[in-house]
Amino acid sequence: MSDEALMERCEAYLEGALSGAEARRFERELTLEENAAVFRQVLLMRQLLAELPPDAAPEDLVARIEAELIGAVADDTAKEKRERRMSRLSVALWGTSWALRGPAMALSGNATGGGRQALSGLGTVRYAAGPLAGRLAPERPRKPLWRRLLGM
Amino acid sequence: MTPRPSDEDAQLSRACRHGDSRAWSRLVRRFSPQVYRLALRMLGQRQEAEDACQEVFVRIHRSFDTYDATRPLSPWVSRITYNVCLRRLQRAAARRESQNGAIDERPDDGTRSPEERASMSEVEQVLEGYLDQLSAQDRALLVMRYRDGLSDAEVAEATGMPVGTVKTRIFRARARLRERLAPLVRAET
Repeated sequence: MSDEALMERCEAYLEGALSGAEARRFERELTLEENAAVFRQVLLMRQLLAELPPDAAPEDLVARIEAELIGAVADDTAKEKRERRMSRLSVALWGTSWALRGPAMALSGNATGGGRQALSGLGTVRYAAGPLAGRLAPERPRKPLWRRLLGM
Repeated sequence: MTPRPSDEDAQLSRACRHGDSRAWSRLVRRFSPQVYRLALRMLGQRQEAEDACQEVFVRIHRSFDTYDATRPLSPWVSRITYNVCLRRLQRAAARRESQNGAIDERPDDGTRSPEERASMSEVEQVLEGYLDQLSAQDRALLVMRYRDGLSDAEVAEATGMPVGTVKTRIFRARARLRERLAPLVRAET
């Protein structure tokens, strides 16, 4: 077996990737000194890599990052609260204006009806208030332009 | 098999999402060694690594909504760190190019202090010397795989490389390192 292949088997063994039978066979192979030497090299390499420094970040750096993040989290929370408040306010304003839309249209005297306004759900208010609006601001039929120009 | 997040990961990410400042503090304490180590190994300079570390946590905070809570936190953090460091290396390379190969003015403070270097064993010196010669990406692969204990699939996820490429690069790096360590191991036994 080539050194590379053996090394791969050592890696697989150490990571528990070999089946029970394969692991036992591999352990028997390790009784050969040359195989055992490769195994020791693999073990040492893994151990060195697993202990690569540094173990921790500098304490002042960690404190700086913590302070920055905690500040950012507080800002986020405040922003979220503000947005929630604004959202509630806008819903209230929107609802109020929507509720007043029907009566306003009815009182304006210019309400022409039509599918889009009827679909508003408050169109019924306009229909109910229609006769009243007509009385408050009676709409006179306009003369055509040529009659108005001729004073007829 | 897709790795699942630990209970600690799940709890931590939930609390962070709810804006719990203590959870954010815990997250920083837990991942700062991992982030700093990877940044230091990739960038090779302490000051640069510290700046990168800060940038990583700011990015973690800004993009926490994109974290998939069904997966472990560690590879996600490594991915952000890896990307931040790669961008910094690219910017540094572009800067050097624009200065027509002028030497970078910042001192190379290395990954270890002079005191640490003086107290290193021969084997550790060989390892450091070898790591210095590797590309930043290969160093990152070894650190993530062996130091941080990520699987090949998680390393692939963190670096955006195919799993096969990760395995091949790690295999090559390992084989070369083993060759260098072989005389020392023989001398010890």
